[in-house]
Amino acid sequence: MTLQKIHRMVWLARTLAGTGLLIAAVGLGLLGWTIYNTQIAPVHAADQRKGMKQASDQLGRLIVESHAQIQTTLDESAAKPGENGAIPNLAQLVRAQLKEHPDSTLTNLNGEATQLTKLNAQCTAWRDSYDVVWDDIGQQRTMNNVRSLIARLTGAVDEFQGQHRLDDAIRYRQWRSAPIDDADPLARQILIDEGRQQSQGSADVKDQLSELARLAELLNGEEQFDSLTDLKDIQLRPVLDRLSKSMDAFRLDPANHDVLTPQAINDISSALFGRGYVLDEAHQSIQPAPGGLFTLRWNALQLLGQREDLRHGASQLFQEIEQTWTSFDQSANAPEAVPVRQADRGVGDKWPEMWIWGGVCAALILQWLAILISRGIQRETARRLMLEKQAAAAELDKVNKQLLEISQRAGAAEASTGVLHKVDDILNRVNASANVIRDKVAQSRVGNLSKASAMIESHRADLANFLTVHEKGRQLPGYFTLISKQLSQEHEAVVTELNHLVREVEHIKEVVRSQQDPAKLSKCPST
Amino acid sequence: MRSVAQILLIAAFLSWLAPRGLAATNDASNGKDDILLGMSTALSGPAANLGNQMKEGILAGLQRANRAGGVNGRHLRLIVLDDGCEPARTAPNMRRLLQEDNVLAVIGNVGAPTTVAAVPICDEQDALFFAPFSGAGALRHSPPDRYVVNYRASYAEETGAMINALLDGAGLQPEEIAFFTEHDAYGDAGFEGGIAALKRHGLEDENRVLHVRYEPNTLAVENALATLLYADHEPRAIIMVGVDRPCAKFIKLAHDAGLRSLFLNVSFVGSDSLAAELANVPANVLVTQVVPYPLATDVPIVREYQADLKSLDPAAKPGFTTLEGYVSCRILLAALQKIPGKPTREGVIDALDALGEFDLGLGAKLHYGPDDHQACHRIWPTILQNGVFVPFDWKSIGDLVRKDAQ
Repeated sequence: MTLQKIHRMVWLARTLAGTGLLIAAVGLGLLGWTIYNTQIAPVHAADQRKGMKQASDQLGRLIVESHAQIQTTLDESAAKPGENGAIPNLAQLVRAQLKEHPDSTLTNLNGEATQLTKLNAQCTAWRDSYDVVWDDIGQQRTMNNVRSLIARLTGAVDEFQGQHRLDDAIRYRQWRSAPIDDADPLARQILIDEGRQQSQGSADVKDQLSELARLAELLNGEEQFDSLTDLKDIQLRPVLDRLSKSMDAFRLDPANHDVLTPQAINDISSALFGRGYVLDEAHQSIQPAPGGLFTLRWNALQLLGQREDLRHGASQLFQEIEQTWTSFDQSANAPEAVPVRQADRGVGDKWPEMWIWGGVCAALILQWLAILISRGIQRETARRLMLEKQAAAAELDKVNKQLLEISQRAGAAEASTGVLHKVDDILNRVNASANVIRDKVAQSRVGNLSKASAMIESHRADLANFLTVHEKGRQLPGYFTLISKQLSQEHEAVVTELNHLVREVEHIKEVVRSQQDPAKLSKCPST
Repeated sequence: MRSVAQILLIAAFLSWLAPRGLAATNDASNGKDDILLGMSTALSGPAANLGNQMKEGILAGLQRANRAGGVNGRHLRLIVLDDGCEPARTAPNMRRLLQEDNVLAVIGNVGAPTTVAAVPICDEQDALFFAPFSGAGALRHSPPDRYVVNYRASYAEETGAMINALLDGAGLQPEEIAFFTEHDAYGDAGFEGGIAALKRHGLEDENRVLHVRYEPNTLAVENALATLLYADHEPRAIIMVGVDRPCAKFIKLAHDAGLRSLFLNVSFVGSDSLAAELANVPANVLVTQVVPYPLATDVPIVREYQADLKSLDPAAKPGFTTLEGYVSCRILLAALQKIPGKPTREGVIDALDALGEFDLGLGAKLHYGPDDHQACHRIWPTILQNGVFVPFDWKSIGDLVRKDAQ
C-alpha cells in the first residue's frame, strides 16, 4: 500500500465520517424530536383533559352560582347581586372554552349563556323596578301616608267631636257648680247644643272613615287584580263619595278647621289612586294615576306575575344549560380515554418512523464505528509503515555488512579448496581404517570365551571330573588352544589398522595447520 | 444623576405608601373589624324628638369609646333607621339591620309598640335587643327573654312609684287618681302597672278608678278630658301615659277647664318637649325619670355625659333622653370590654349576664344576670319649674295635691 493510497483512504474515511456525523446529527435530532413528540403527546393530552375537567368543574360551579344569582335577584328580601356576578363569568368562560375547543356542545352552551345573560338583564331590570315597589311596601310609605291621612282626619273629627263634648262637659261642670238661678238656662243651652251637634253628623263621618281605613288595609293586602278593581270601583268610590258629602255638611270655618275640609278627602283619594286620578262618571269607575296605593299594589301584582314568568324561564333555561353542561362534563371526564387513546394512536403511528430513524441512527453509529476503525487502520498502517521503513533500513544495513564480510571471505575460500580436497581423501581413508577395526572387534570370539569361563566356574568343585568325564568339559582344553590363536590374530590385525589410522590423523593435522595462517589473515571487522 | 434617581424612587415609594396609609386610616373606622350596632327609631313623626335624642346620647357614648381606641381595638359604628315609631316600619328595619347590615346588637329603639314588633325578629336572629327606650311589660318577662336586656325601669315601676308617693306621701285614695293613657300597648302597660300598685294598696275594684284614653298619633284628647270632667269626683292626680304633644294639650285644656289636678307623666313623654309645650301653663306637672338629672354635677357619669355630649355636638343641650341613651351605651361598652377577641351576638349577652352587680357612677347600683335583664329599677322624679324639669323629692308631693279638689 502506497502512501497515496493511504491518504486517499484517510480522506475517504474523513468524508464518510463528516457526512455520517451530519446525518447522525440530523437523524438524532429528528429521532429526539420524534421521541419528544411521542412523549409530549400524552402530556398534552393530559393537560388538555385536565384543562377541560377544570373548565367543566368551574362551569358546573358557575351554573349553580348563576342559578343562585338569578334566584337572589328575583328575591326581593335578599341583597341584590352585584354587576360582576357568576353569570358574566360563566358567559366569559364558555366563550373562552369555545375558542379553545370549538365543538357543538360548547356552541350550544355559548348560545344558552347568551340567553342567560339576557335573562339576567331582564331579572335585574325587574329587580330595579320591584325594589322601588318593595321598598315602598316594606317601609309602608304609601300605605302609611294613607293611614296617616285617614288618622289625621279621624283625629280632627275626634277633636271636633271631642271639643263639643268638652264644651258640654265644661258647661256641665259650670252648671253643676252654678247657683240655682243660673242652672236652668245653662241646662237648656246644653240640650240645644247637643241637638245641633248630632245634626252635624260627625259620628257618620267617623263611621265612613273607619270603613275607609278598613278598605285601605284590604287594598294594601290584596293579591288579585279583580279584587283590586272591585275594591276601587265598588267599595272605595262610594265611601269617598259619602265622606265628601259629609264634609260638605260640616260647613266649618277653614280658618279654625284646616283638616276637616273637602280637600282632606281629595288628599286621601289621591293617596289611594294617585295624584291626577280621574273619576269616570260614565262608567262609575276611577282611572288611577301613578303614585297611589292602588297603582302600587297593581304594579306589585304585575311584577309578581313577571317574576313567576322569569322564574319559569330561568328554570327552563337552566334545565337546558344543565343538560348541555352534563354533555360537556361527560366529554371532559369520560374521554379521559379519548385524549389518551389519541396519544396512544399517535405513538403507534410514530413507530415506523421511529424504526426508520432508529435504523438510520444505527447505520450512522456503525458508520461512526467504521470511521473509528478506519482511523485505527490509518494509524496502524502509518505505524507499520514506519516500522517497515525502519526494518528495511536495518536489513539494508545488515545486507551491506554481510556483503562486506562475504567479499572479505571470498578470497580465503578459494585458497582452502585444494586443502579440503586433501583432507577429504585422508578422511576417507581414516573412515576405511575405522570400519575395519569395527568389523574385527565385532567378529571377535571374546564372547565365547566368557561362556567357557562360566562353565568352569560352575564346575569348580569337580573341575577335574568335568574336564575329564563331561563331554563339554573334555572339549574345553582344545577350545582354549584354538581361541588363543584366533585372538592373537585379531589383535595383530587391529593394531595394524590403528597404526594406519594414527598416521592418517597426523596427516590431517598437518594439512589443517598449514591452512590456519591464511584464514586468520582474511578476517576483518564487519563494521 | 444618581441622587435624582434616588429622590424619584423615594417619591414613588411615598406616593405608593400614601394612599395605603389613608386606606388604613379609613379602615380603622370602616373596617371589617368594626363593631356595628343598629337602631330602628323615630327620626320622624310625633316621637322624632325621642328618637333623635336617644341616638345622640348613644353616639356620644360611642364617640367616647372610639376616642379611646374602641373596644379592644375595634371601633364602633351605629346604623340608625327611621321607623317613625310605627311598628309596620320597624319590622323591615330590623330585618335590614340584622340580616343585611349584620349588626352585632340593636340598641335604643324607641316606643313600646315598635319594640314589641322588633323583639321576635331579634329572638329569631339570636341578636341582643338592648336598652329600648320603653318601659313596656312586654319587654320584661319573668324569666327574662335571653335576647332582651333593659336598662331602664318599667312603666309599671314608674306608675307604681307615682302611686306609692300619691297614696303614701300625699295621702290620696285610689279613687282620687285618674289615668290618661295612649290607646296602645304603651298606655296599657303604664295603666296596668298603676292598677297593680293600687291593688297592692288595697284597691279591690279597678272600675272605681277613672281611665280615659286617646288614639295614638292624634291630638284628639278632648273626649278623654270631657269624660273626666263629667265624672262625679274630680281626680286630684292624673297619671298620664302618653307622648308629649297630646299630654301637653290635655294638661292645657284641663287647666283651661279649671281642673287643678296634679299631672304625673312617665319618662316616655319626653320631658324637654313637654316642658316646651307647657311653657306658659301654670300646672303642677311631674315626670318620673329613669336617669339622674342631666345637669347634675355630683353624679360622675352625668359629668362624663355632659363632656361627651359637648364633644359630639357643642350646641346639644343635656337632656333626660340623651342621658338615657348615653348610659345605655356605656353599659353595653362595659360588657363589650369583657369580651376577648371579636364579639359575637351570643357573646354580648353572656357578657351582660356576667356583669352581675356593677357601678357606672350613676348613683344607683346596677345589676344584670341570667335571671335579671333590667339593670336599673330606680326612679328619679322631676317637676316642671320655670319651663324646665328639675329634680323633685317625693316627700314634697303632698304640697302639690290640691286639698279642695272636690
